[in-house]
Amino acid sequence: MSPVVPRRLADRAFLWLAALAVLLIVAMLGVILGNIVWNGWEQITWEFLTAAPRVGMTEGGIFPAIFGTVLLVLLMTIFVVPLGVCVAIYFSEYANRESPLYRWTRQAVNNLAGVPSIVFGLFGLGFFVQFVGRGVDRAFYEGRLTYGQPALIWAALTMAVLTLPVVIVSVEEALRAVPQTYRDASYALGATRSQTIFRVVLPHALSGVLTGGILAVSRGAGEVAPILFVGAAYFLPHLPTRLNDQFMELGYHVYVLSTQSPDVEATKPLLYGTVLVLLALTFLLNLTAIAIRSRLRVGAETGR
Amino acid sequence: MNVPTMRDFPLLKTQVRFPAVAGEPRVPKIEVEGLTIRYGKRVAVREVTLPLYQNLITAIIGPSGCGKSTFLRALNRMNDAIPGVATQGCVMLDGLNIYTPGFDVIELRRRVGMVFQTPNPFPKSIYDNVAFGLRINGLVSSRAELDARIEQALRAAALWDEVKDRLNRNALQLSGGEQQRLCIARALAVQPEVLLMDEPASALDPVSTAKIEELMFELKKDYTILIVTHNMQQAARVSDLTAFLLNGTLVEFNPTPRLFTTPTDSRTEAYITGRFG
Repeated sequence: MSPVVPRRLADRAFLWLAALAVLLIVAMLGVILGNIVWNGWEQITWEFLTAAPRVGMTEGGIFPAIFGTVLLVLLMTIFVVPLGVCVAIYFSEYANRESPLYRWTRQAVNNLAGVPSIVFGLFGLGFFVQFVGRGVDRAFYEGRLTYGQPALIWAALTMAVLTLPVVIVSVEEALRAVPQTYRDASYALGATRSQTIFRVVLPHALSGVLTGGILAVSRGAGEVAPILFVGAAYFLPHLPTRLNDQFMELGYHVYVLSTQSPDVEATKPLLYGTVLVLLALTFLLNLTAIAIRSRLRVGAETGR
Repeated sequence: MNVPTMRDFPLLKTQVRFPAVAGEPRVPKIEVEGLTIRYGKRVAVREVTLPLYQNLITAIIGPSGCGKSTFLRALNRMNDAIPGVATQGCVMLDGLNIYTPGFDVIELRRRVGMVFQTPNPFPKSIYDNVAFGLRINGLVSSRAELDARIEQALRAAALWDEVKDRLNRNALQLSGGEQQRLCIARALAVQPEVLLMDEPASALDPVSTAKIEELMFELKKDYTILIVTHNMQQAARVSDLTAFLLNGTLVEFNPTPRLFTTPTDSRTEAYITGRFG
């Protein structure tokens, strides 16, 4: 037998192995999505989306959780996008790649992205709630407990720190994709560096900024661990109206329904419904990001 | 920055008042004196001394990598942004060295406009492209004035009739030749005194190239023009003076007809007869 035959066999075998691995991934996703959609679909009614939980969470809807989630990610976006864009501009337009400052800050961002989310939760509790919040109370509220407790604003800030690397990387990538010729043209007309950044580079990278924001939102909407200690509530009779209110949140609600319920069988359908809503929300956000990105990219290239 | 004062510039002395072009001696708009530019350790431009005259087109020819673009970009300090570039010598604009510490680079670039090798309009409307320089430099105070300056610039770039009905269309929808004339209009809008053109027709078809060259004849009435080109026919067609650059050194600088018919340097002759480059 020539040595060619086992070699071909090995080649063929690897192909099948790779195909099997791909199939496995697809199947897993299929089972998860199928199971959730199949069991959760029936739950998605108008009442489920607009009512508050009742009877120890075994009946009613999840509106406060949807409301809280939206509020949380909106507030988070307000914090994280400007900060992330500034850092990305520094990295892409100002920093000298050789300088130690650049290397350190770059490494810091990379490390930030690798920190487990529960650690962010503890950081939020220690820094925002206990340190900043208590400080605010001492300074402005004569020590009365106002901001020195888990609250919407601290949750949003914690989430902003968590999603910061997502925004930075996405925006920076978009800034670097802006052709150097645009910058040259701008400088050659007598523009300063900041004029070039704000009138040429940033508008051209708008798709990246938007994508960064949406990716951060979709990441933030799916995280539970960071907000466990800093503002998410088990159940609230009222919707949050102030920055120092606590709030309900979809991811946390899933956790609550699945582990803290007095009657697991009764909450199971609700749980499926909640998970479906959470999945649909993040999926929709990701889809929007992709759509905006491709639309703006095509527009930038063809001028339409 | 070493500022040469009484140093000997044999080339400059002979060239400042060569009579062949305009009859009487002229004062150069820009005098480049002993310009040396290094990329790290590599010398891109070596001790180049060259005058540029108003209402004349000066062409720089030379093989790829001879330092012609680097030289051109030194005249509005566009090399400043490139890390590792060191510039020595001086570039006198109306008698003032633009490399003097504290020289206003922003104002310099307003006065010394630039057109790039590939058309690079901003992905904005035609109108906004031309308006860009006027807006960032705060040169206009009213919308009417802006409109007028934009029309003026587009007319000067021989583009007005083609685009006057679609000023709000995206500039990227124009043809390559139109885009390049738009870039010229954009540069002209801020009313510069000098126009640097870095192979402005190298990315264009022959018809568009002819239009740009025609335009240059018009522009030379108002501006000092320096064009870098690797196309010798183009240099012969459009320029009054030609400088031949080889490995960063200025080999010969002469009136264009003389340089192309009776070059004084054997290397120039070798280059223009196509023996290298």
